[in-house]
Amino acid sequence: MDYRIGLNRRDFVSATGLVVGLVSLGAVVKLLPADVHLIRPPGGQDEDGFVALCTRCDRCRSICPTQAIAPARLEDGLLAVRSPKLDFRLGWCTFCGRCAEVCPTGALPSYKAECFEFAGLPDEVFCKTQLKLGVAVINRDRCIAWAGPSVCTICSTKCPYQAITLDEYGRPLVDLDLCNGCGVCENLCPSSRLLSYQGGLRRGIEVSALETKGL
Amino acid sequence: MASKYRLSKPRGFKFAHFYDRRKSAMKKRMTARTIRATTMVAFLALVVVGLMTRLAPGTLSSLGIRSIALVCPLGALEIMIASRSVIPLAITSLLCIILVGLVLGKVFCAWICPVPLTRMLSSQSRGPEPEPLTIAAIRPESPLQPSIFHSDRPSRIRLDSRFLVLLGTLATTAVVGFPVFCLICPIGLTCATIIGLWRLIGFNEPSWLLLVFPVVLALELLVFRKWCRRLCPLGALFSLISALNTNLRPKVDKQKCLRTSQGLDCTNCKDACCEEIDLHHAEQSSPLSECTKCRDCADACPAGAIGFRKNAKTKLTKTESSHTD
Repeated sequence: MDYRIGLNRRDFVSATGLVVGLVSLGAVVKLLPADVHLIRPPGGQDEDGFVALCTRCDRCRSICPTQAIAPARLEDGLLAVRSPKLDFRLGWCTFCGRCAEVCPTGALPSYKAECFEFAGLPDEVFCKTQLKLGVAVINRDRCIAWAGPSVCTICSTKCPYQAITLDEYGRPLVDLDLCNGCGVCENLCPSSRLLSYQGGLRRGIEVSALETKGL
Repeated sequence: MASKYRLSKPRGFKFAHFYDRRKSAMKKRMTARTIRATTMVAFLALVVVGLMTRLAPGTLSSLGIRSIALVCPLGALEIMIASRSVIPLAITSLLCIILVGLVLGKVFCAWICPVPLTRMLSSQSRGPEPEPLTIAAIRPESPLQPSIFHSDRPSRIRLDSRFLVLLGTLATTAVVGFPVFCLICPIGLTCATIIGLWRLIGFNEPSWLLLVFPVVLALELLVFRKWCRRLCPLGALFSLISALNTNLRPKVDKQKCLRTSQGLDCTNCKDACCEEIDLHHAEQSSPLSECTKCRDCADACPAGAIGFRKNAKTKLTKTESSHTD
């Protein structure tokens, strides 16, 4: 076997151009801070480790039984585009572990879970894990119970992890230790429908990524 | 044997028999291309299967069933470099792809990768079929140089601009810590555009990627041109593996070939090859490791002299010789 360099000037120029493009793309993506905090499927919470391993193969999105996993869009950042994010408007996470099972690269590592049935949502089986996807935050201006005289207890009765309690006035409060960001509350919160005449798409309770927990 | 091609028809330049053979060869070529286009579309259709069902067959970035998957070899290298860790499925995928490459060579490039679909589409709109070949046109003025065929041994590796892109990709990945080529990979962008369209229609999720990705794709494939031969780092990886593939290669049957049997200056096989392989001039040719097994040369050959199986040639010559005996 003899080796031969087959490189003419034109090819060299276009290849160098492409490599320069790749380097600058990598630098731009790395240096520009992503201002959107995406909620990743369970196990993908270490963002740097996750983007290093994700090949954007779409398998976790496809297998998710509640269809809570959506492909990130260009608006979610150049680095994130095509990678999986959780959209609790579409579904919630039961921590069933199927996404981790099909992830070929370990971007979503498999985890131990103890599964239980929850009377509030009889069609689903939820699992208890050590993982935290994010944490539910109540938007007091949008929450029916916080904003007005009406009573709404959907989030507290439907929370499979009993992380939402009601205060003395019947307003929901999130227990930050118990909440694992499963998204049931955000999915079922009726405020954007009930407040549709006021406009706005924000719901009374929404899951935030862990980095924005303090806000 | 020679009588089959004897220039017995005195009238006209058009070598009728020859033309008929070529026409049937053209027909066959269309079918070979059609089969390839079908397999390419079938692999792309897996994306749609993943969107319609919860089977999670994956995309070409990694295909799989349940916990078994075949990761794209470039992606596998990139993620191991980016995460500085050994990933079992990435290693097994690389091994599987090396094994397949030893048996089938660079077959991915012509049968699975969706990028050549654009080439097929653009070549189909290129205009009318070329004029039928005439004997007068290919009869050389002076005797042809004798053919120098490629050897049967492992082929040499041509370190071309694709390897520059490959090295650049891996180095950049090591620095920035994520698989950077995946962001611009034309295969990934194609799959992402399909997924984006699906999300737009099915989930009312518009995104700029639906505009940006097709533009980047067009830039890569139409402005850069010859993406596959000049720039694709994935193709470079497959070429490395394909060098050791010796059992599935285009081979010329010297007794059928118009060059070797009749001294005619037919260059159909060379002209058909998109990898610039010249089966008759091994020195001026791309190495056989670049062969994508697309069969365009076999289909372009007016004499049907090109086969791909290791012993195809010898079998044929045996039957021919038994006829003459």
